[in-house]
Amino acid sequence: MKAPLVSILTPVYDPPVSALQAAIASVRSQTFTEWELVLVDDASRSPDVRAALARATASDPRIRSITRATNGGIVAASNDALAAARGEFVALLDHDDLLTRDALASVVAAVRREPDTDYLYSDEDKVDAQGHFYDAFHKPDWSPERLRGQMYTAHLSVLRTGLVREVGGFAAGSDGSQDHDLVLRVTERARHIVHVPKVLYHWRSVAGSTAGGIDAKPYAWEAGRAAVQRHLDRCAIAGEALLGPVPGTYRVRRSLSPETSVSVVVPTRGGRGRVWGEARCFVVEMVRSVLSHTEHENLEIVVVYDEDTPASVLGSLRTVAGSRLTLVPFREPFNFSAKCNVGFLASQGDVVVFMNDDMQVVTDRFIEELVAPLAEPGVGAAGARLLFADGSLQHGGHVYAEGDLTHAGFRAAGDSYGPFSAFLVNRECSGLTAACLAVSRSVVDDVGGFCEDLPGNFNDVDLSNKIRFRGLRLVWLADVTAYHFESQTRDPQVEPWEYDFIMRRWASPRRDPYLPDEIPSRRR
Amino acid sequence: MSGETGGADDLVEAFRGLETSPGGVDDLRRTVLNQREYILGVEAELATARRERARLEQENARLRRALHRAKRLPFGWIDSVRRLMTGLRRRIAIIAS
Repeated sequence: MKAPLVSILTPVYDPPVSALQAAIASVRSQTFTEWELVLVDDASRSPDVRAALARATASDPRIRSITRATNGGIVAASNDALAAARGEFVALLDHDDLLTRDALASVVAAVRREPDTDYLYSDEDKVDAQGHFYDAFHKPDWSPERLRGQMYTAHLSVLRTGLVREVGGFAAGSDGSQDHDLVLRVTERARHIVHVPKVLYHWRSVAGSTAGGIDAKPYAWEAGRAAVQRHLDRCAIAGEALLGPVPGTYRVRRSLSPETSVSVVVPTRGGRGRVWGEARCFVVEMVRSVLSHTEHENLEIVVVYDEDTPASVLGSLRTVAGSRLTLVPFREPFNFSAKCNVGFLASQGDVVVFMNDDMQVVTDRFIEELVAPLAEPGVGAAGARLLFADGSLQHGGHVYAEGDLTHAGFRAAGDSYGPFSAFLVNRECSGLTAACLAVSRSVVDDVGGFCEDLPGNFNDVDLSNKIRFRGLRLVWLADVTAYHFESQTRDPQVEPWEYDFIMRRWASPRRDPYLPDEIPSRRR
Repeated sequence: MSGETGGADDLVEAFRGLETSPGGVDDLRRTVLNQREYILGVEAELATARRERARLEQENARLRRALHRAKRLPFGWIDSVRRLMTGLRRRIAIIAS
């Protein structure tokens, strides 16, 4: 197989000359030789820059330089570079950043393994003025939901040239977020997307650059939001793109069709306890909080209760939920999975939301926000951000790595950003807790519900794996929050046989595909 | 019920049970759900076993290549390296003194 030519596109506008020379040198030092470097000078004012470009083109026939008559901005310059590209793939390199020596070789090796690849991205780090590398970002594997929340793929991005041209190249008006906008459009049509889990790009951190601080370019944030909105519109996702909690992040507020029927299934034995100094019956307060945080009319509450549940609790539930309530007695020994399955079979909704009884909803439109992502093809389940009573994080999705199965961000501060803002944006994850899990009826049916051989622990790990095994994505929602007073109602001890069961079925996990930097610290 | 035995016979048996069991339909639906779960679990275990076999085969091939390379080295090569290192250390000591 002939090696593909890779065109490196570099718009240039008055960079420090030494940084520009270093960027060009990093291209010339590639171990892979089938490349061309297309430099587009966007009418730089500095004669030193123009001289540096002239020297570069004279030094290597693979380097071409185009000079724009007037300054047109990064989009115009990038489009000029794209028009001049002769390669099968284009790689995007900023005028002051660096490629690692093996960058193109690694990318081309990945293309050879998967010839129908249309888009590749790699891990990256930053380089400071002294040339020190730091802040390595080991990225998640392909995560379309996360890409809506932040431009996580950024550098190095390599795209099939034909597809870039097919989608119209860099979009006018997207200056500052032109790469995010382009990658959204390309990935909507890409046949295959590859993550190369290796740092291939050093992003220079200087004052005023985006690498130097995510609020260095405020116009880029709004341009990114607009790009995500256009993406939602193109994908027919009923929703609104909003600015996220910090610059560089975005939130997607989806709309739930009123016709979608939703069943909240709650296993309980009517336990009581104290939260924030006050006594409560968990299930009653949980159901009350769900109903007071939703406007969705097409909703039923299915409570699966043990026989020893006090009659007063059932009476309170009838008062709180009225005609929306279905009570299902459970007459078997404790088995969380069986209770969920019995509740599922008694429910009627197109979507089932499994919830523990020891919870309290925080977010308005909780059901709408939690359920709406399931309307998108390919999404198998959605879960919420769960907090302990003290406000620390209980669940930021599951992480399965190094033989361990844990909650991401377990016990971290409730407002912590997580690795590379992972706790601030909606994103794919390996698993979701059954304490709060929205799944389509058809998906639960297809995977056979919960495994009743796992009555206490890991039934949610197993269910999550089954959903992913079916090729569906699990989405954790950063802006859908509930308190989970976990383990106030049961013993959380994990038995060795439970661990062995899950390992036999799914194998011992090594690297988490969605949070590769999150090191498990506690077996859940 | 885990669905370990043949499906058709189980279903016939379950339908017979429907005639006498008050919760018959619900029981049958749960049986069907559990059987589907069991089947998917078996599929998953098979896939896991296949991946593990592929990994072991790769590892085995790597070790065989290493063994093949090691066989081509002259007999007693480890001792030769040790002697070389001892000689080097002695020369360095002489130079240093």
